[in-house]
Amino acid sequence: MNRRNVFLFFVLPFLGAFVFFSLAVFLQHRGLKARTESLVRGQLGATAGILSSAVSRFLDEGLAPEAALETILAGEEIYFVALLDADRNILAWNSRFEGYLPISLAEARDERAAIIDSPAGKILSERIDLATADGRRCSLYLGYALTGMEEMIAVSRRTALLLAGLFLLVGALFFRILYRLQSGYLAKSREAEAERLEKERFREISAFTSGVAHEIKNPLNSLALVLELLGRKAPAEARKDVDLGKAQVRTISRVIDRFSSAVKAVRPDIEPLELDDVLRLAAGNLAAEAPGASPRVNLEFVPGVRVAGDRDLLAQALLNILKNAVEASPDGAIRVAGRRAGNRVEVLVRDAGPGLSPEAAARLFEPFYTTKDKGMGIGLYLAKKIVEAHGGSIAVGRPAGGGSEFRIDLPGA
Amino acid sequence: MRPTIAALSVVALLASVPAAGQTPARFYNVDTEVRIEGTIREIVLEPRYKGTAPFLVLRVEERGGARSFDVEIAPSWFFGQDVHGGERVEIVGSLAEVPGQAPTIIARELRYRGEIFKLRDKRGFPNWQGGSRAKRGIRRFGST
Repeated sequence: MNRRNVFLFFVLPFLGAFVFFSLAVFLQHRGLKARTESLVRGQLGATAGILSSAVSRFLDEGLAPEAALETILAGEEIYFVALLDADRNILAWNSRFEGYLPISLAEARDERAAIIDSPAGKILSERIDLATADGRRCSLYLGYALTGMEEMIAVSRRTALLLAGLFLLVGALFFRILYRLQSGYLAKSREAEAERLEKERFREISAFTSGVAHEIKNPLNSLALVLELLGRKAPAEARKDVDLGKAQVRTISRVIDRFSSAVKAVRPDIEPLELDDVLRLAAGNLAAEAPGASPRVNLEFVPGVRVAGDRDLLAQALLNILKNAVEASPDGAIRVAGRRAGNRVEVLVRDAGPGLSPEAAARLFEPFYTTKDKGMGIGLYLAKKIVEAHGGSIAVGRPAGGGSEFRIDLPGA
Repeated sequence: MRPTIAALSVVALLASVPAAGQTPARFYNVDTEVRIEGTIREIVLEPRYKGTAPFLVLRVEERGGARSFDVEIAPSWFFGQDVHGGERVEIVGSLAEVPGQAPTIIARELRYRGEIFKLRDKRGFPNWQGGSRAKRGIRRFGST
């Protein structure tokens, strides 16, 4: 998946959801703040009304303004209080903080309530008119601590941040998992598509090759028959040429058979087999085809190791690999060993040749790929097909001591 | 940051004088903020607000000898600096004038020996009170 798609299908939706969520949380926080402020203002307004009545009563009773205010400041949440006359001159005041009375008569405005930001926190200042029994008109100026409200807002802010963080974490995790699942699915889809195309291509080649083989083999059989008859009737001096012709016809026939076998689907008849028997059979076939090379093949038998497979097909696959090995190392020994690895069986074929280049190793099992002058590039391809038809795998590597090593993995029995 | 207050000609009127705080005109009034330069003539500790520690008060003669002010600095425990009579100071604060009494300046900022001591914020909130958002301790600027 390219960067653009990752951004479009994962990052962008996640960011969008996060922004939406953050906005919702932010608006909720703002709403709570506004509601809390409104509630606090309402409550404090009611308290101010009660306090102003109390002060008014104290003044009516003849209490000095300072004394009247002192009774009010007993409340923990009141930071300062002042009594103003009708001209807004301060008659008396009191404060929890030495000399702190945040009131500017020069900048006095009509608003009766305001929020002051102080080092001790937010303070709601409010001015309430009151009248005494003797007709004096005064104002009570009060400063309330909004610590309770601030604490509530701080809790709301912390909760909002926590929720946003949680969302970010869970969202990132969710999209990460989704991304991995999607990537895995796409990779499998790509593999399946490639496999489908390969099978289709193989079917086409198979059909074409079978058709060609059929068309060639019919006249070739007639030609072989004609040459046989001709050989019987031909004079002695011409028989050598007729034999050469017959040999060429056999070569053509063999080539066609090999091509046909290469494109045919492999359908193994699976049964439990002794690995040593399969190795012996393959070595025997090699001895028949290349008697000179056979003594160089060193089989290391491991009795009791059983493999699930088709005897003839596995022997064919091993024969192809052995032929490749003896051709790769004309003078060197070939080591063949088998062993059980869990519920699998591993067969190692190691030659003493010059080894494979990385490019050759990568293409070695491709059909019609060969590094030899007379090779057709079918033997190893066919070996791979047979092994894979058994649910196994084949790989080639370069061991430390030189040469090449084929590693065949097969299901155990 | 609490050196002793040395060389003080302290007139400690601790318990004998009633609290002078809460006098109507003597609060930090932002409308009467002034800046003066002068010389320290006397250093005293006085109770200024009811129920609080005595305050360091400087009797300062304005440059040119025009007027003298009682400059209310801070509680003595908070302002633990050496101050000497005869030294020059520059003060920003709120002027409170009560008839029959020496004019008083509640200092917000004190410039002294090349240092600036912030005693209150712009609205007069005392720095020694701390508060949930205040920085504790005296704040210095322009140290030399």
